[in-house]
Amino acid sequence: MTDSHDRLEILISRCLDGEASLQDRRELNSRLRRDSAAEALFEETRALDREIGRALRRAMGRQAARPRTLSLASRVSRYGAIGVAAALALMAWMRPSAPAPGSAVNHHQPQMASWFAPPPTWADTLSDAPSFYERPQVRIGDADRDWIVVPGDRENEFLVVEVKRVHTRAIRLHEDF
Amino acid sequence: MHAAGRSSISNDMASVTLDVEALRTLVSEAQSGSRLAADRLVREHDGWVRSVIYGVVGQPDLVDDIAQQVWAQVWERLGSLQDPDRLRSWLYSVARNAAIDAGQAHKRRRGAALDTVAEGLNDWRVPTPARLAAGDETHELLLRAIQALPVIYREPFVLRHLEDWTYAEIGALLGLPIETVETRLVRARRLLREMLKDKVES
Repeated sequence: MTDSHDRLEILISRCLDGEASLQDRRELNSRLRRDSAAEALFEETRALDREIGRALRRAMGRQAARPRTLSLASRVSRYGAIGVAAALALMAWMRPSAPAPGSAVNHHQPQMASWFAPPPTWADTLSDAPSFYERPQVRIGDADRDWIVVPGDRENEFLVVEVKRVHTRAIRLHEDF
Repeated sequence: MHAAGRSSISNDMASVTLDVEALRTLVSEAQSGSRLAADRLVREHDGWVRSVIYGVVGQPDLVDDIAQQVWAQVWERLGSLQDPDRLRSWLYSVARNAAIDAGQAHKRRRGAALDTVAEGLNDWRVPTPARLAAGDETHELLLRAIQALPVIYREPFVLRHLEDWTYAEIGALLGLPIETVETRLVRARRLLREMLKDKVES
């Protein structure tokens, strides 16, 4: 083994183990570009590493290696952020206008003035929903999430109902019970 | 890069699962007999302890039994652990010694019973017709190659591949400089390439 070959093996090993510095990666790329034997060694080592890793995990009853590109947590947070952004955009779009100055009535705080007064109209009394809104749909994992916007009884009042539908899966059983 | 890795060994090791204070509390509670804390210790450390055992004995079918022995010993001797910060290295020495003892005992048993056909067929390394039929030939071949590695190469190699540890983390556990860990991984890969050349389809 020459020093050059040893150096190549070290670079390949560092690269496969995620320990290569920027300089190491540049050096390795440069060698792979101009030396087909180096490239073959890199590909062979990478393939062997992958197979051996798989065999080790299987032998130890471990799950497959996590993809290094995008973790589950980052995917969930990404889709979660999209969902939150969609909800905020919808809320901003639906936000009621400011009450007129001098208005004495607080529409959002229904008050029971007297036991004998007629029952007030509560905010969840529904009226016919106009068809001018769109329902955003966001899919997170196995759930479909969407928001149903229902106009309230008073002007500029809306109820936002979040709906999550979990997808069901059909699994065919081959066992004869 | 390695210089940076070297300076952060202790931090890396402490932050793998628990921070230092939480670890101290957990060990202290386990030492005072808390079953819950002991269970948590096992859950936190069982994975890499098994990898260490595999790295030493090289046979996956021995790992479960040895791991049980290790945790039984840990439970008995945990009171003797003076410094909770040294839990990881203490666990490593318990696991390594148990694996060496069990590996030697297994070799003796195998040597005594090697003449019997049944023992030979039960040996995981023998590619039985059932295993071959199941398409496990390549899998067996790879495991045999790993088993054939010298322990000094197999230990860091298994920790790297099963635990996804950095060179610094492996070095801190095995008590080796980062450069030595790197050299051993390079040699392990070279040996595996030579052993498996033309035997495993690319």
